[in-house]
Amino acid sequence: MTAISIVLAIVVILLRRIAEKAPTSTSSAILHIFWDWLIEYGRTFLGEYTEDAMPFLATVFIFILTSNWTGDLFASVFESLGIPFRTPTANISVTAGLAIGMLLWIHGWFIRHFGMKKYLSIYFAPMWWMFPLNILEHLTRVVSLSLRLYGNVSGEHLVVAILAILAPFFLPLPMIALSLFTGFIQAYIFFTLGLVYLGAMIEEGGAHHE
Amino acid sequence: MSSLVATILAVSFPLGIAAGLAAIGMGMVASKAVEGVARQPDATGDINRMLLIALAFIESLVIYVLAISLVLLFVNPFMKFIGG
Repeated sequence: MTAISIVLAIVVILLRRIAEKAPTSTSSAILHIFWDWLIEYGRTFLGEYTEDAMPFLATVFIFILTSNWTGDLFASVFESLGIPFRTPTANISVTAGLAIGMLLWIHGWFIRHFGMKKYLSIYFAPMWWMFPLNILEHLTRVVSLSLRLYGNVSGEHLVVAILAILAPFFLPLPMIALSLFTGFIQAYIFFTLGLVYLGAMIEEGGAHHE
Repeated sequence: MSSLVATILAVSFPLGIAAGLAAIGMGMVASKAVEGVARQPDATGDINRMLLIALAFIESLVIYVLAISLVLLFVNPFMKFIGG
């Protein structure tokens, strides 16, 4: 996981240089198209706050996607070279850390933009006695986010491993292809749920009071 | 040995039941989404997004069962009581 983070950071710094230096080149245009797509997609959930909130969420998306795909594509390569490698997102600690960080960031973002009073008011949102339920809602979000990512990725890897034991040559290949697709879907779902939770929070606490 | 059999049964049956019931739910969601797209092709993007979110929520229930199954299989906390 640390290695993936370092490699990603270097790649992103290089890409940023490309994006800033030559706004007309093809590679820069691809980056801008990707960013515009993210902004356009986030706007349906967050409205005017999209450009402020997107960098963190997009980082989480790219990190999860890279982790999933590295685990699918290069795990056996690393293993055959003697480098111990396990998919970061197939580890419950990593996904729990991601989910907790995501939720903490969402709450912090909300406090920074709307203030403590509105933040506390969302816990008493429809009626004051809904307070325990609201707390529970925020806690279960962490559990469901982390368990969903962990379960999907590690389950997929278990299936690939069992197929590799049964028939080592060609049978795992379609499963690995499916695993690439699932990895993308899971990164996308994690990212989208972050958007949805933040959007719901803004809807509850911020927007209609103004 | 019987505790091993009990563990395997306790792992596999709930996973099958959960996967089957979730498949029924997912089928309902998907059929409604297809109907919606057929009726209103303009709303494909929105319907697609909501479909994926709904499927993720349904799927996460199966994933909970899978997580419990994995715990029971590999790091069973009750093994020291039954001496398996």
